[in-house]
Amino acid sequence: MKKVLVMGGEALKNQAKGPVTKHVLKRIAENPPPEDIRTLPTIIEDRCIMCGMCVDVCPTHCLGIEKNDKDNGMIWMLRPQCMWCGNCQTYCPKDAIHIDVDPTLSYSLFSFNVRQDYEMLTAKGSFKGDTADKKLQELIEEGGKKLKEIEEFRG
Amino acid sequence: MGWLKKFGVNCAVRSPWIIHMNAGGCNGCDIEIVDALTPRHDLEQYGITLRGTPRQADVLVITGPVTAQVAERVKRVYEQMPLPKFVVAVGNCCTTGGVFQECPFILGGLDHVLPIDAWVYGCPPRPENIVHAVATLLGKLKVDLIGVEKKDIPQEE
Repeated sequence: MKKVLVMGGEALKNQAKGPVTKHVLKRIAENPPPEDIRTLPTIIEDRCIMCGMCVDVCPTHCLGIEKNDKDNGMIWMLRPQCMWCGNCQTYCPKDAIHIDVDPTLSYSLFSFNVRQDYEMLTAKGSFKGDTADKKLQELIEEGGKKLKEIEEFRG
Repeated sequence: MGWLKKFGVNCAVRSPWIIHMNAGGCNGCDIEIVDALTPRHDLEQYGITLRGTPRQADVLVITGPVTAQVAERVKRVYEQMPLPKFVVAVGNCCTTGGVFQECPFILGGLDHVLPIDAWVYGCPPRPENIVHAVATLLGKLKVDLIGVEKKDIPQEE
Protein backbone atom coordinates (compact mmCIF):
# COMPACT_ATOMS: atom_id res chain seq x y z
CA MET A 1 0.00 0.00 0.00
CA LYS A 2 2.82 2.34 0.89
CA LYS A 3 4.49 1.64 -2.45
CA VAL A 4 1.32 2.54 -4.34
CA LEU A 5 1.09 5.84 -2.46
CA VAL A 6 4.71 6.66 -3.26
CA MET A 7 4.18 5.84 -6.92
CA GLY A 8 1.06 7.98 -7.04
CA GLY A 9 2.90 10.86 -5.46
CA GLU A 10 5.70 10.57 -8.00
CA ALA A 11 3.20 10.50 -10.88
CA LEU A 12 1.48 13.65 -9.60
CA LYS A 13 4.83 15.38 -9.10
CA ASN A 14 5.92 14.54 -12.63
CA GLN A 15 2.62 15.82 -13.94
CA ALA A 16 3.14 19.18 -12.26
CA LYS A 17 6.79 19.96 -12.92
CA GLY A 18 8.18 21.16 -16.21
CA PRO A 19 10.94 19.70 -18.38
CA VAL A 20 14.21 19.14 -16.53
CA THR A 21 16.59 20.09 -19.32
CA LYS A 22 16.62 23.33 -21.25
CA HIS A 23 14.65 23.58 -24.46
CA VAL A 24 16.72 21.94 -27.15
CA LEU A 25 15.46 23.96 -30.12
CA LYS A 26 16.67 27.15 -28.45
CA ARG A 27 20.07 25.53 -27.92
CA ILE A 28 20.24 24.47 -31.57
CA ALA A 29 19.52 28.04 -32.63
CA GLU A 30 22.46 29.20 -30.53
CA ASN A 31 24.80 26.57 -31.99
CA PRO A 32 23.85 26.19 -35.66
CA PRO A 33 25.04 23.16 -37.65
CA PRO A 34 28.24 23.43 -39.74
CA GLU A 35 28.18 25.49 -42.91
CA ASP A 36 28.99 22.66 -45.30
CA ILE A 37 25.90 20.69 -44.29
CA ARG A 38 23.89 19.35 -47.20
CA THR A 39 20.14 19.84 -47.62
CA LEU A 40 17.76 20.22 -50.56
CA PRO A 41 18.92 21.71 -53.91
CA THR A 42 17.95 25.14 -55.21
CA ILE A 43 18.36 26.56 -58.72
CA ILE A 44 19.70 29.98 -59.72
CA GLU A 45 17.25 30.91 -62.43
CA ASP A 46 19.46 33.16 -64.55
CA ARG A 47 22.15 30.52 -65.00
CA CYS A 48 19.89 27.58 -65.80
CA ILE A 49 19.80 26.59 -69.51
CA MET A 50 17.24 23.78 -69.19
CA CYS A 51 19.60 21.08 -70.42
CA GLY A 52 18.03 18.46 -68.15
CA MET A 53 21.35 17.11 -66.93
CA CYS A 54 20.31 17.21 -63.26
CA VAL A 55 17.18 15.21 -64.08
CA ASP A 56 19.21 12.55 -65.89
CA VAL A 57 21.86 12.04 -63.22
CA CYS A 58 19.53 12.07 -60.20
CA PRO A 59 19.85 8.60 -58.65
CA THR A 60 16.43 8.67 -56.96
CA HIS A 61 14.46 10.29 -59.85
CA CYS A 62 13.19 13.08 -57.62
CA LEU A 63 13.47 15.82 -60.28
CA GLY A 64 11.20 16.35 -63.27
CA ILE A 65 11.46 18.65 -66.29
CA GLU A 66 9.19 20.07 -68.97
CA LYS A 67 10.62 22.47 -71.58
CA ASN A 68 10.30 24.01 -75.03
CA ASP A 69 13.78 25.47 -75.52
CA LYS A 70 16.55 26.83 -73.34
CA ASP A 71 14.62 29.89 -72.18
CA ASN A 72 11.22 28.29 -71.68
CA GLY A 73 10.83 25.45 -69.22
CA MET A 74 10.35 24.35 -65.65
CA ILE A 75 11.89 21.91 -63.19
CA TRP A 76 10.07 20.49 -60.18
CA MET A 77 11.06 18.23 -57.32
CA LEU A 78 9.45 15.67 -55.02
CA ARG A 79 10.99 16.77 -51.71
CA PRO A 80 10.88 13.52 -49.69
CA GLN A 81 12.63 11.62 -52.47
CA CYS A 82 15.76 13.78 -52.60
CA MET A 83 18.63 12.24 -50.63
CA TRP A 84 20.94 15.29 -50.64
CA CYS A 85 23.69 13.47 -52.54
CA GLY A 86 24.83 16.50 -54.58
CA ASN A 87 25.05 14.65 -57.88
CA CYS A 88 23.08 17.37 -59.68
CA GLN A 89 25.50 20.02 -58.37
CA THR A 90 28.51 18.03 -59.59
CA TYR A 91 27.22 17.46 -63.11
CA CYS A 92 25.59 20.85 -63.81
CA PRO A 93 27.50 22.47 -66.73
CA LYS A 94 26.56 26.05 -65.74
CA ASP A 95 26.81 25.77 -61.93
CA ALA A 96 23.13 26.67 -61.66
CA ILE A 97 21.89 24.03 -59.22
CA HIS A 98 23.23 24.11 -55.67
CA ILE A 99 22.78 22.00 -52.59
CA ASP A 100 21.44 24.47 -50.06
CA VAL A 101 23.59 25.23 -47.03
CA ASP A 102 20.85 27.01 -45.09
CA PRO A 103 21.06 25.44 -41.61
CA THR A 104 17.47 26.36 -40.75
CA LEU A 105 16.29 24.03 -43.52
CA SER A 106 17.97 21.03 -41.96
CA TYR A 107 15.61 20.88 -39.01
CA SER A 108 12.36 21.64 -40.77
CA LEU A 109 12.42 18.68 -43.15
CA PHE A 110 9.45 16.62 -42.08
CA SER A 111 5.81 16.49 -43.05
CA PHE A 112 2.52 14.82 -42.34
CA ASN A 113 1.82 14.04 -46.00
CA VAL A 114 4.59 12.78 -48.26
CA ARG A 115 2.87 11.92 -51.51
CA GLN A 116 1.81 15.49 -52.27
CA ASP A 117 4.92 17.35 -51.14
CA TYR A 118 6.00 18.77 -54.52
CA GLU A 119 7.97 21.94 -55.01
CA MET A 120 8.62 24.01 -58.15
CA LEU A 121 12.36 24.66 -58.29
CA THR A 122 12.39 27.00 -61.27
CA ALA A 123 10.08 28.22 -64.04
CA LYS A 124 11.42 30.32 -66.90
CA GLY A 125 9.95 32.36 -69.74
CA SER A 126 6.46 31.41 -70.86
CA PHE A 127 6.22 28.68 -68.21
CA LYS A 128 6.33 31.24 -65.43
CA GLY A 129 3.16 31.93 -63.50
CA ASP A 130 -0.01 30.15 -64.62
CA THR A 131 1.55 27.12 -66.34
CA ALA A 132 3.79 26.34 -63.39
CA ASP A 133 0.93 26.67 -60.91
CA LYS A 134 -1.28 24.44 -63.05
CA LYS A 135 1.42 21.76 -63.31
CA LEU A 136 2.02 21.85 -59.56
CA GLN A 137 -1.71 21.44 -58.93
CA GLU A 138 -1.76 18.49 -61.35
CA LEU A 139 1.12 16.81 -59.55
CA ILE A 140 -0.54 17.30 -56.17
CA GLU A 141 -3.78 15.78 -57.49
CA GLU A 142 -1.80 12.82 -58.83
CA GLY A 143 -0.30 12.40 -55.37
CA GLY A 144 -3.79 12.39 -53.90
CA LYS A 145 -4.81 9.60 -56.28
CA LYS A 146 -1.75 7.60 -55.26
CA LEU A 147 -2.64 8.18 -51.61
CA LYS A 148 -6.10 6.68 -52.21
CA GLU A 149 -4.60 3.71 -54.08
CA ILE A 150 -2.25 3.00 -51.20
CA GLU A 151 -5.06 3.22 -48.68
CA GLU A 152 -7.03 0.65 -50.67
CA PHE A 153 -3.96 -1.58 -50.89
CA ARG A 154 -3.52 -1.38 -47.13
CA GLY A 155 -7.15 -2.30 -46.50
CA MET B 1 -15.09 13.85 -17.06
CA GLY B 2 -13.36 16.46 -19.16
CA TRP B 3 -10.57 17.04 -16.69
CA LEU B 4 -9.84 13.30 -16.44
CA LYS B 5 -9.41 13.02 -20.22
CA LYS B 6 -7.18 16.08 -20.18
CA PHE B 7 -5.10 14.50 -17.41
CA GLY B 8 -4.75 11.26 -19.38
CA VAL B 9 -3.75 13.04 -22.58
CA ASN B 10 -1.22 15.15 -20.70
CA CYS B 11 0.32 11.99 -19.23
CA ALA B 12 0.40 10.26 -22.62
CA VAL B 13 1.96 13.20 -24.43
CA ARG B 14 4.56 13.85 -21.73
CA SER B 15 5.96 10.33 -21.75
CA PRO B 16 5.73 8.70 -25.17
CA TRP B 17 7.78 5.52 -25.04
CA ILE B 18 9.16 4.45 -28.38
CA ILE B 19 10.05 1.14 -29.96
CA HIS B 20 12.59 1.33 -32.74
CA MET B 21 12.55 -1.13 -35.62
CA ASN B 22 14.70 -1.58 -38.71
CA ALA B 23 12.76 -2.72 -41.77
CA GLY B 24 15.65 -3.60 -44.05
CA GLY B 25 17.66 -0.36 -44.11
CA CYS B 26 21.40 0.29 -44.02
CA ASN B 27 21.57 1.28 -40.28
CA GLY B 28 22.38 4.94 -41.04
CA CYS B 29 19.05 6.26 -39.79
CA ASP B 30 19.20 3.95 -36.75
CA ILE B 31 22.47 5.54 -35.69
CA GLU B 32 20.95 9.03 -36.09
CA ILE B 33 17.96 8.07 -33.93
CA VAL B 34 20.24 6.78 -31.19
CA ASP B 35 22.25 9.99 -31.56
CA ALA B 36 19.07 12.01 -31.01
CA LEU B 37 18.61 10.18 -27.68
CA THR B 38 22.06 11.14 -26.40
CA PRO B 39 22.51 14.07 -23.94
CA ARG B 40 23.65 16.51 -26.63
CA HIS B 41 20.40 16.44 -28.59
CA ASP B 42 18.38 15.12 -25.66
CA LEU B 43 15.15 13.63 -26.94
CA GLU B 44 14.62 12.46 -23.36
CA GLN B 45 13.55 15.95 -22.24
CA TYR B 46 10.18 15.16 -23.81
CA GLY B 47 9.92 12.03 -21.67
CA ILE B 48 10.88 9.77 -24.55
CA THR B 49 12.68 6.54 -23.70
CA LEU B 50 13.59 3.57 -25.83
CA ARG B 51 11.76 0.37 -24.85
CA GLY B 52 12.67 -3.17 -25.75
CA THR B 53 9.18 -4.49 -26.34
CA PRO B 54 6.21 -3.23 -28.37
CA ARG B 55 3.83 -4.02 -25.51
CA GLN B 56 5.17 -1.08 -23.49
CA ALA B 57 5.51 1.39 -26.36
CA ASP B 58 3.28 4.18 -27.67
CA VAL B 59 5.26 5.25 -30.74
CA LEU B 60 6.66 2.95 -33.41
CA VAL B 61 9.75 4.40 -35.10
CA ILE B 62 10.61 2.62 -38.35
CA THR B 63 13.58 3.00 -40.70
CA GLY B 64 14.39 1.36 -44.00
CA PRO B 65 12.46 0.36 -47.11
CA VAL B 66 9.86 -2.19 -46.12
CA THR B 67 10.98 -5.41 -47.76
CA ALA B 68 8.41 -8.04 -48.63
CA GLN B 69 9.74 -10.37 -45.97
CA VAL B 70 9.71 -7.85 -43.12
CA ALA B 71 6.27 -6.39 -43.94
CA GLU B 72 4.45 -9.11 -42.02
CA ARG B 73 6.68 -8.59 -38.99
CA VAL B 74 6.13 -4.82 -39.06
CA LYS B 75 2.40 -5.42 -39.06
CA ARG B 76 2.71 -7.89 -36.18
CA VAL B 77 4.74 -5.45 -34.07
CA TYR B 78 2.16 -2.75 -34.77
CA GLU B 79 -0.68 -5.03 -33.70
CA GLN B 80 1.10 -5.88 -30.43
CA MET B 81 1.18 -2.24 -29.33
CA PRO B 82 -1.53 -0.90 -26.99
CA LEU B 83 -3.87 1.89 -28.05
CA PRO B 84 -3.42 4.81 -28.71
CA LYS B 85 -0.45 4.13 -31.00
CA PHE B 86 1.46 6.32 -33.42
CA VAL B 87 3.93 5.63 -36.22
CA VAL B 88 6.92 7.77 -37.25
CA ALA B 89 8.76 6.94 -40.47
CA VAL B 90 12.38 8.07 -40.48
CA GLY B 91 14.49 8.41 -43.61
CA ASN B 92 13.98 8.49 -47.34
CA CYS B 93 13.67 4.73 -47.73
CA CYS B 94 10.54 4.75 -45.60
CA THR B 95 8.92 7.57 -47.53
CA THR B 96 9.23 6.55 -51.16
CA GLY B 97 11.80 3.79 -51.37
CA GLY B 98 14.83 6.06 -51.67
CA VAL B 99 17.79 4.42 -53.36
CA PHE B 100 16.03 1.05 -53.27
CA GLN B 101 13.06 2.18 -55.36
CA GLU B 102 12.15 0.03 -58.39
CA CYS B 103 13.68 -2.93 -56.59
CA PRO B 104 11.32 -5.94 -56.90
CA PHE B 105 11.63 -7.05 -53.28
CA ILE B 106 10.38 -3.91 -51.50
CA LEU B 107 6.93 -2.37 -51.15
CA GLY B 108 8.17 1.20 -51.78
CA GLY B 109 7.06 3.15 -48.75
CA LEU B 110 5.87 2.28 -45.29
CA ASP B 111 2.36 3.60 -45.97
CA HIS B 112 1.68 0.45 -47.96
CA VAL B 113 1.58 -1.38 -44.62
CA LEU B 114 0.66 1.05 -41.82
CA PRO B 115 -1.05 4.43 -41.40
CA ILE B 116 1.65 7.02 -40.63
CA ASP B 117 1.55 10.10 -38.40
CA ALA B 118 4.83 11.84 -39.28
CA TRP B 119 7.58 11.50 -41.85
CA VAL B 120 11.17 12.67 -41.49
CA TYR B 121 13.15 13.38 -44.67
CA GLY B 122 16.84 12.82 -45.25
CA CYS B 123 19.34 10.18 -46.14
CA PRO B 124 20.06 10.01 -43.23
CA PRO B 125 18.16 12.79 -41.42
CA ARG B 126 20.06 14.92 -38.93
CA PRO B 127 19.28 14.45 -35.22
CA GLU B 128 18.00 18.05 -34.97
CA ASN B 129 15.57 17.19 -37.70
CA ILE B 130 14.26 14.17 -35.79
CA VAL B 131 13.95 16.17 -32.55
CA HIS B 132 12.05 18.94 -34.31
CA ALA B 133 9.70 16.46 -35.98
CA VAL B 134 8.95 14.66 -32.72
CA ALA B 135 8.32 17.92 -30.85
CA THR B 136 5.94 19.14 -33.54
CA LEU B 137 4.16 15.78 -33.64
CA LEU B 138 3.61 15.82 -29.87
CA GLY B 139 2.19 19.35 -30.04
CA LYS B 140 -0.14 18.28 -32.82
CA LEU B 141 -1.24 15.16 -30.95
CA LYS B 142 -2.17 17.16 -27.87
CA VAL B 143 -4.41 19.40 -29.94
CA ASP B 144 -5.90 16.40 -31.75
CA LEU B 145 -6.60 14.29 -28.66
CA ILE B 146 -8.06 16.99 -26.43
CA GLY B 147 -9.96 18.47 -29.33
CA VAL B 148 -9.17 22.12 -28.79
CA GLU B 149 -11.28 24.31 -31.02
CA LYS B 150 -9.13 26.68 -32.99
CA LYS B 151 -10.32 30.23 -32.75
CA ASP B 152 -10.54 32.18 -35.95
CA ILE B 153 -8.20 35.13 -35.80
CA PRO B 154 -9.75 38.12 -37.58
CA GLN B 155 -7.45 39.29 -40.35
CA GLU B 156 -6.26 42.84 -40.15
CA GLU B 157 -6.52 44.87 -43.26
